[in-house]
Amino acid sequence: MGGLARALGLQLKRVDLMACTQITYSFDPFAANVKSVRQFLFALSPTKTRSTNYNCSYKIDVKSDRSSPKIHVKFVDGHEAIFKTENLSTYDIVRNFNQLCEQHSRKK
Amino acid sequence: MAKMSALGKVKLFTPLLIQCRHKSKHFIQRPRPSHLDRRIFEAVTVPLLPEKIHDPYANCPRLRRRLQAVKEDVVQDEMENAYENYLMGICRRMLEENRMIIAFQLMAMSTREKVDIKRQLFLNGLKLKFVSNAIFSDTKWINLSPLLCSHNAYVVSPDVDISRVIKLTHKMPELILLGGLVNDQLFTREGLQRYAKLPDIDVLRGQLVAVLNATPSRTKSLLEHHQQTLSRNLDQYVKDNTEKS
Repeated sequence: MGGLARALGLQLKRVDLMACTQITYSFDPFAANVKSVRQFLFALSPTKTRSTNYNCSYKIDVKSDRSSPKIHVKFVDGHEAIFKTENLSTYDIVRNFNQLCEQHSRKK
Repeated sequence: MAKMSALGKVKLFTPLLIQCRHKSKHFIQRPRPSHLDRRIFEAVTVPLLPEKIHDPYANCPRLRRRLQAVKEDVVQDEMENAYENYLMGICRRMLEENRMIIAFQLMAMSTREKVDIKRQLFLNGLKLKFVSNAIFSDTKWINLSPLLCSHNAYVVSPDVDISRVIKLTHKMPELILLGGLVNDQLFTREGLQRYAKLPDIDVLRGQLVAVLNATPSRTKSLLEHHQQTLSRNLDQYVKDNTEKS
C-alpha cells in the first residue's frame, strides 16, 4: 500500500482544475463500492486544489436509490466525461482525471 | 666604515644537513607494483573475514523494538489492547448514550473551520464527533458499515431533533449529509429529510385518532342515511296531506 499511496499523493499534487467548469459527484452512500468516489471528493476538496480554478463548481448529489456512483466532469472546451467509479480505485480516477484535464486544457 | 665592520661580524645560519630528492615525484594515484615476494606474502596473509551484511535492526532502535514486540507478541498485544479498549469504551459509551447519530461526509477544512462548526453545533445542543471507522466493528452499529469508508464525521445528540441538524448543516458546505441512525433505525439521506419535515409526535397522534374515529362515524352515517331520508320524506308527506285536508 505504501507505493500506491505515494503514487496517489504524486498524482494529487498534479491536479489542476483549469480545464474543468463543473464536477458532479453522484453516489448513494449505502450502495457498494463508493469508497473511491468519496475519497476522490475528499482529495479534491482542499483549498489548495480548489484555488487552481475558483470557477470550477462542485456539485454533490447524494442519492438514496442504490444507484452506482458516478463522476460527471465538464471541460472548458465543451467536452464531458463520465467516470463510473464502481470498479475503479481512487488512484485510477485521479490518474485518468489528470490525463483528461491535460488533453482538454486551453494551454496547449 | 663603521657599518661595514658591523656586517662583517654577523654569523649566517648554515644547516648541517640538506635533504633533496633527485628521483621523480611519488605518484600516489597509481603506485608502482611492489616486489613479487611482498605481493605473494600479502596475498597469502589477507584475513578471511565474514562479509558484512547491512542490518537495519542494528542501527534503528524503533525497528529493534518492533522486532522484539513481534517476538513477544502476547505481552505486547495485551498492553496495547488495554489502552485501545479504554479508548473504545469511551467511544461506545458515547454512541450508546446518544439516540441520534447522523453521519456526514467530511470535506477538507482547516482546524479553525472545524472548531467554528463544532461550536455552532454545541450551542444548539449537538456534538460533532470524529470516530475511527474501526470502532464500529463487532458492535450493533455494524449496520452503519456501508457508510464506514473514507472520512466521516458524526453529529450526535441524546434528543432526536433532525430538522435542527439539517437546518444547521445546510449552511456548512464542509459537511455532507449521508445518513444516520435514529432510535436504532437506519435512515438514508432522503429518509432523514422526510423525517425532518414531519410535525411533532403529539400532532401526529391527534391526526391518527382523527383518522381512526372518521371510519366508524362515516359507517354510522352511511347506515343511518336511508332511514333518515325515508323519515324525512314521510314527514313531508304527512305535512302535505294535513294541509290539503
